[in-house]
Amino acid sequence: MNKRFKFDFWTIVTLTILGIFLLFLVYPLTTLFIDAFKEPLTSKFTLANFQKFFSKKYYYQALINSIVSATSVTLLSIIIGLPIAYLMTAYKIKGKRLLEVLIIISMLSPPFIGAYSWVLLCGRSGVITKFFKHNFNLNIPTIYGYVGILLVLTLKLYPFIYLYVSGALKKIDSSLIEAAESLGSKPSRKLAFVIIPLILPTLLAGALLVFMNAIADFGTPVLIGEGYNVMPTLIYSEFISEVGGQANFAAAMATVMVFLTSIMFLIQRYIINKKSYVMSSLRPIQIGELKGISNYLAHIFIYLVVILSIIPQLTVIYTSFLNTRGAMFLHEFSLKSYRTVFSRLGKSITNTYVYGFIAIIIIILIGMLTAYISTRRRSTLTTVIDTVTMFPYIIPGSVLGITLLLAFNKGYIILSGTATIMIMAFVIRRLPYTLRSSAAILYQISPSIEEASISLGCSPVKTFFKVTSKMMLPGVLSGAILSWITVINELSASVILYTSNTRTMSVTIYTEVVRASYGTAAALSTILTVTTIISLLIFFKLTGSKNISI
Amino acid sequence: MSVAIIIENVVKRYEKTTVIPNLSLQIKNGEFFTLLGPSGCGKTTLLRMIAGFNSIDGGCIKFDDKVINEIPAYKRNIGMVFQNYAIFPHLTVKENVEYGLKLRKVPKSESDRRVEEILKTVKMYDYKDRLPDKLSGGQQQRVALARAIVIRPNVLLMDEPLSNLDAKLRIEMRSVIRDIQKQIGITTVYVTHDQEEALAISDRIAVMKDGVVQQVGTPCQIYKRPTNIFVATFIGSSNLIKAKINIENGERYVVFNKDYRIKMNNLSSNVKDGQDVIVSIRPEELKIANKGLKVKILKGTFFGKFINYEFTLIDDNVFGENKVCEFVQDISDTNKFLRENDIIYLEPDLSRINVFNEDGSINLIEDVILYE
Ligand SMILES: Nc1ncnc2c1ncn2[C@@H]1O[C@H](COP(=O)(O)OP(=O)(O)O)[C@@H](O)[C@H]1O
Ligand SMILES: [Mg+2]
Repeated sequence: MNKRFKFDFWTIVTLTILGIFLLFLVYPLTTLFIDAFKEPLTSKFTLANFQKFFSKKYYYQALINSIVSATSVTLLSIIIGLPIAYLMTAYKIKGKRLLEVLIIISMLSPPFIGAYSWVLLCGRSGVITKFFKHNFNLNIPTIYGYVGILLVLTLKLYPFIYLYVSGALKKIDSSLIEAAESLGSKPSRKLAFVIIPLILPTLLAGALLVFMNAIADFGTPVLIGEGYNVMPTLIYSEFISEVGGQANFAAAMATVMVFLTSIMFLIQRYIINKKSYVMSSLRPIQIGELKGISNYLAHIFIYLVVILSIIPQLTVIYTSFLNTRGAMFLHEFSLKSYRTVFSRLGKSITNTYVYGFIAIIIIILIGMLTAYISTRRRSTLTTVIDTVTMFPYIIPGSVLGITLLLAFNKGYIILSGTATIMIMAFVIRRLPYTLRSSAAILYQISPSIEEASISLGCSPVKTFFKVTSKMMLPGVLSGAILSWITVINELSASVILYTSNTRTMSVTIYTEVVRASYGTAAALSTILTVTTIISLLIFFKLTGSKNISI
Repeated sequence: MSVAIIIENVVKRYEKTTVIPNLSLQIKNGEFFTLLGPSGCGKTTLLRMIAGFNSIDGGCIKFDDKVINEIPAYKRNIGMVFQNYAIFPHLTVKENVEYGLKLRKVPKSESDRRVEEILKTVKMYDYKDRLPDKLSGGQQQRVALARAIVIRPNVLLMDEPLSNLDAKLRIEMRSVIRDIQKQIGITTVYVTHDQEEALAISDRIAVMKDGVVQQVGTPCQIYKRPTNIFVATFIGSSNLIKAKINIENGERYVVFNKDYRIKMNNLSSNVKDGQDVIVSIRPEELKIANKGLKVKILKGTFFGKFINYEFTLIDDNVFGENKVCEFVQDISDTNKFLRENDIIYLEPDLSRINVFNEDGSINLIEDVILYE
């Protein structure tokens, strides 16, 4: 617009948003990275923290474990997600709609519920373990450690592969496949030589997303990993034991972790940008019908996976209505767990909804305004904001928790132990969903609509609130619901930031499980799961589709 | 209410590139003025400077005597019609039209009356409670027009308002716009790259190229006496043929070849003997004759009222890359149809053809008007 600097509404918005990100993200992160290079007592520059990490097996083993488990989870997710996506897109599968909804539910439900349910089922005193022990005197393989992490995370993360790949498959025009057939490809070769190369970039992008989620996850390894340390759990335990604000070693580990995730993130960007062939299908792949044995096998495979991945939800709902004695579930129904929850842990429920609500309001506001300034008011400052809003993709939740705590437990602004710090953690972590959906809808709104309003005598700021924001709302809300669902299920940052006054449901579920108070944990998980499912249904209603883009 | 627009030496730069180097125009109160030029020549840029959506990097724009450079768009009281209609999708037809009146705090009764009147004028009254997604493109554009006019703006600005419509609707909407503009008498600046549309709709046209105004005039002036070969070929079509000036006993001739020259009475007095020129002849300015330009017919296309022939010159002295020329033959004039490879003579209509200097930048005919 005008060359001279104008201090208008949008400048104020830009500076405010930039200020928020600088205060709650850039400043804490910088503090963390600087701390990583300091000696705990003298505050002198040192590499000792990193030397310590890379010289003791106990420490660097966690890094190896993280990489190994995340890689295995990624491969397994592809092995499961890819065929399901192909079968569901190309062939008639009974109950397809329901299956899709269940897959999405299993993806968006609280991550740690999976771990904890599988412990209830197959743990040391789990139902299934005991069943085999009593009836057949059989010891089923242990669920703890690497195997458990693999099982739980794969069942939670393969939906990413499924969603990405089926999205890409739907965009393949059937003429491409027919062309391959007319050139004499056999069906199996058609899959290998035509379809796979076409969806490869999407598959890789999905795979990296799975990897990032797997390596950053805290809830699963902490509940089911037992001796199998990974980076987030190690950082957490080191941080908790290094009390007194001298968290230099934890900071160094967090730095290593962020270094790793940044590299993965850059690779992912590179692949997405290189995704050269933009496909848009005029004639999607024809849905075929499988015959005979292959039809049965396809159904068995898909149903088995989907049922396995939804078992945790069913388990917590079922057990939440059982009577308990200590850590034991009794064979009778009772609302005792719910009564306990409401009398003793009610605060965590209200906290979850209140914080979640405040966070989502802030997320919507920041999301809409940020999307607007970075699409319509481009400047150097908005480029900075664009870059900074990418950070939440790279920073694992536990690292974000530590950075916020380190930055705000001393100095001018003390926020440790407050609701504010919890809410800001939610906002920073879950803003990207809303931001992306806001930007996406803005790209669909022609700037001339705004100009029409301005030419009719409405000032630009008024136009934003009168016209643009109203037109953006449906898109913004679809992203906001995803933000909401992931806010109320947030664990890895909150578990570091909470106090007994500010704890949320997911934190409480975690602490209850650790205390082996399984009944209350199940009741809280049920409340959380039901909230998630209702929110999802609203999302489907709002977007009018059964698809979700993460 | 309506104003004259005076544009004085305006400049527009995007970063390093200057899109409009120095442009001046005077648009009279109440006239239908069209900015015409190939895409990318800066028409939209100029229109948006008038509207206030683009800054003015040099010079000034006035509404009557008032410099508007620093007045923000929303205070300029302009009516604007966009290529993609830009109807508010969440408001009904009536609410769209009311929008500007509400902002101006026009009393309800008057507002209702004006909305009704304008909706009837654009023949959209029956649709007043519909949402825009239920309207066709042409209907949406009528609503956009009503919405822009109802606020009684100083000027009405339109940026290619018809280019998203199909050919038939375009011609229909063209006269709707023209009629309503005349009825209301509002100063209108209209942008298009379609020369036919510009000729049909405008009081005056400014032909632009690379941010520079080439010629300003009535459709007739511009068509008949284009100021350079860019205008001659951009508006309508023209055959360009290389020739030489010959001055003999004070008489000025245009020499095509050793066998054929024409005597011109309206050449400017600056032409010199032996000067190279480009003769621009429109297809309808050629007639079959016994002498003249010797041509070979390539093909004829029958259009009903006339036949369009493509031909090449035997001496091959056509200017430019495209060596194919055209002429039209009125059906009523003849019962002789030409065939491929026929060799004939064509004679130009001396009072209508144009003669340009060697590089085509200056029209050498006496009565050319650069800026009407
Ligand atoms: N926002 C912009 N930034 C940089 N260059 C621009 C911008 N808008 C237009 N241009 C350039 O200015 C020139 C004129 O554009 P425009 O006014 O849109 O042409 P027209 O409307 O005649 O087709 C073009 O070369 C175009 O690329
Ligand atoms: Mg344009």
